[in-house]
Amino acid sequence: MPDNSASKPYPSFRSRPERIALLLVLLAVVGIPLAVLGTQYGLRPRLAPMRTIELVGRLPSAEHGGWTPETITVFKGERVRLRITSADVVHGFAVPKLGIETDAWVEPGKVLEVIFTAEQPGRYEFLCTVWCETGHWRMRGVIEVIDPDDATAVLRDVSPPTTNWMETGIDIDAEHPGENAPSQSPDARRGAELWAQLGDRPYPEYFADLDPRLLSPSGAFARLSRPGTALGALTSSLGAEERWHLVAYLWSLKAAPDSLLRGESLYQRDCTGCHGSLGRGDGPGAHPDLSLDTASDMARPATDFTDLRAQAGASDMLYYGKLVRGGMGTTMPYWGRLYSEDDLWAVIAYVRSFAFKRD
Amino acid sequence: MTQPPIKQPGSNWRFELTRLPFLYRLLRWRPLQFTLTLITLSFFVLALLTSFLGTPVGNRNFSIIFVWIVWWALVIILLVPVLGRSWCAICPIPAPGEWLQRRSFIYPRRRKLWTLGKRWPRRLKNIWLQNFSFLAMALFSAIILTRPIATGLVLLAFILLAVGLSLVYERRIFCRYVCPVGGFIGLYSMAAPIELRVKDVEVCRAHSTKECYVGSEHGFGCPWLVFPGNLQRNTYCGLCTECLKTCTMDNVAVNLRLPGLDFFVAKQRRLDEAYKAFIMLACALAYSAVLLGPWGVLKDAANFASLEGWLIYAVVFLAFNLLILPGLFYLTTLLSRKLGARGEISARAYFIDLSYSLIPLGLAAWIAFSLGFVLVSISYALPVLADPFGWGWNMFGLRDMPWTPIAPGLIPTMQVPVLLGGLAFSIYTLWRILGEHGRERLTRAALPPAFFLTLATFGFLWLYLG
Repeated sequence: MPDNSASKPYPSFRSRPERIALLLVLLAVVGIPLAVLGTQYGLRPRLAPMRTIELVGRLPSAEHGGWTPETITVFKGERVRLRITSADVVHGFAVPKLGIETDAWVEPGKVLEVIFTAEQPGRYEFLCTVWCETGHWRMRGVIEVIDPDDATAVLRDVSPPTTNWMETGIDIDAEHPGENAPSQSPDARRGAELWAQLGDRPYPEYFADLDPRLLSPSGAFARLSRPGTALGALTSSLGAEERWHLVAYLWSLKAAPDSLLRGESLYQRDCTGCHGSLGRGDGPGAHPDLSLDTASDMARPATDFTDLRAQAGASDMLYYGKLVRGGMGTTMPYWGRLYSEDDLWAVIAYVRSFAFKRD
Repeated sequence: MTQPPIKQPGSNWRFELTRLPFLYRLLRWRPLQFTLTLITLSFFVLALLTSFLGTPVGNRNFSIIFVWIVWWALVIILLVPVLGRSWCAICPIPAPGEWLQRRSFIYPRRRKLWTLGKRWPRRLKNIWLQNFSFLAMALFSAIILTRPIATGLVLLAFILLAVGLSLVYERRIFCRYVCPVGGFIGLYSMAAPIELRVKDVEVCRAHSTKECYVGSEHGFGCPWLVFPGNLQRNTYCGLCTECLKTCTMDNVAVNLRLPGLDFFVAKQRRLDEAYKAFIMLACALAYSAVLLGPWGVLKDAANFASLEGWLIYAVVFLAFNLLILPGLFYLTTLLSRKLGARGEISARAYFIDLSYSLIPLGLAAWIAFSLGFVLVSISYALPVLADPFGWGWNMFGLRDMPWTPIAPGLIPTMQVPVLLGGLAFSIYTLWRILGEHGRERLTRAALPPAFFLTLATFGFLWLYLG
């Protein structure tokens, strides 16, 4: 039985328990935030001289979609740990020009850690490497590497030198059907065998007067078929099908096997979403039902690399231009800021293999 | 004039827990509420910080995991069914406002409460505001429950509103009339086997000073604006036990009792509470469909994938809560009234009375629904405790603990008995409430609402078991 009947004085607000209570409340309301921020921004950088940056991937079509943050700024020579998470579906991550490429997925609820040190100031684009939705190609961001001693270094572009397309005379966005085209996929190996029988000197020498990047397979076929020239004389006994084998052989000489392998891995990672794994332009991103805007050009089907006439009419430079700059008015993204020069040519060489058979 | 004695409903069996000396001393120990609130306040502060500064990925963020999984599981599976409104006693949201009003943390002070002391408008002295604030939150729940920043904004709004209201109005107006959570906790606490009641109503009636309501040097006047002498239901008692501390007659007790006795306090049944029962049942159904169901279209609509989709969802959701489910139940009560020949009672009063039979099923449905995701996701709690912000911390080395759903295969076997138990409890409640209107044609009268309850239960079973 309590003795509540007896009146006792009210305890003072300055009483000891109240003071302790005030202290505890202050600890909770002020102390916790201070402890958290102090640990994160004061203690941790001192204990571990590696900066940690959180990167979150979301479907580009979602609210605040894409990468968050989109731009990451680091110092030249700074050791950085990226902790990458996904807020929705499986994504991938690569910074090709920093050599950061991983097969590991960025899975929802898990953290992918990437540790790197960038030695060269500049802007390095990163991208999602798993086809996550129709807007997958928009899922990109930039790592800015700053040199504290050279404030303008970051502005120097690390993309390949731009090409003056006007000078090359190539209209990247126009259709480019070849004047000549094979009726079926020519075979480079068969072409090599034919040249072994016919050739009197290294094959490419017959094209040495031309810029090989501007030559289209259709153009090469025309040169092989031109009467009154040394090359025309050599191939005069061949039918059109055999001359196309020789064209395929000429293109096979452009890329070494390891470059072709590199091209294949990049194509399978970055291009299959729209162009399909067999180059038929039938990837899920090109499917009309999945297109973001079926009424516009954005819904234009992706290029079919097994279309022999289109392949015959396209020079390597035309493909290079499309890759570097992207397709105007289509969902074809640019790759110039992501791929190295070698990577760009490797992808082009691999793309040719959908039309020209080789080993 | 002699007033009739207040009869405690179903006063068949009660065990006075406060006769246990340890518990009695503990509940009268003034720092108890402060101590527990301090703990929840610390978690609240961390939840606010993580929601604004931490990773936006829900399952790596303390605020999402601790508010919507750990706290939710604590409240709906443990505290409400067992200890009624006990959460309200230790909730951190009204605490700063209350401390400010009292200008003390633990002990009462002589001076008046620090507030403008305005009276809460008479028209709002019901839980309609809580019904609508809950619905407003429910409309955005797919976003609030998954986006830390949205959770943070809601928590911040709550605490600012609670402090603001405490400056204008006396005592815990926010808890009593505004808090969307308090509304359903109050409703479901009626089912709890714990109650705070006076031992002898006549003692209160004869006692003129009423320290339990006005406060004394031993404690504060009831923060919930409730006179314990009139207390017959748990609905608006926040279990702060101030009255246990202030009562000079030692006439207040915390009892163990049979669950759900409050449903049978006929005189206090009201339309706003009846609607709360509908809203909670409808929301449990809607949430189960949206969050656990296989319908992507529904998820997208609730998730604000497009404004049009969400607007359609909002209209359907509100209509289901406020018109369709209550409307269907109203039809069953009309049929019940006709079959049971209970024309002497108005259709409205009959509808309100019978609506209380939905409460046990609603609570069971929420428990079953919560089991479905709490057991699956509770293992996120330890990693987010180790790394609350998702910044890569690794306190206690627990960060990389893998996600381990607890007994996912057993969840349906837990949900089925919970739902069937809820149905049985609801039908029992229905039977007793119908019995208040006479024993004749009881079975006939019970059939339509019992069919409604059974149908709703099968709806849940279908959603959970597929």
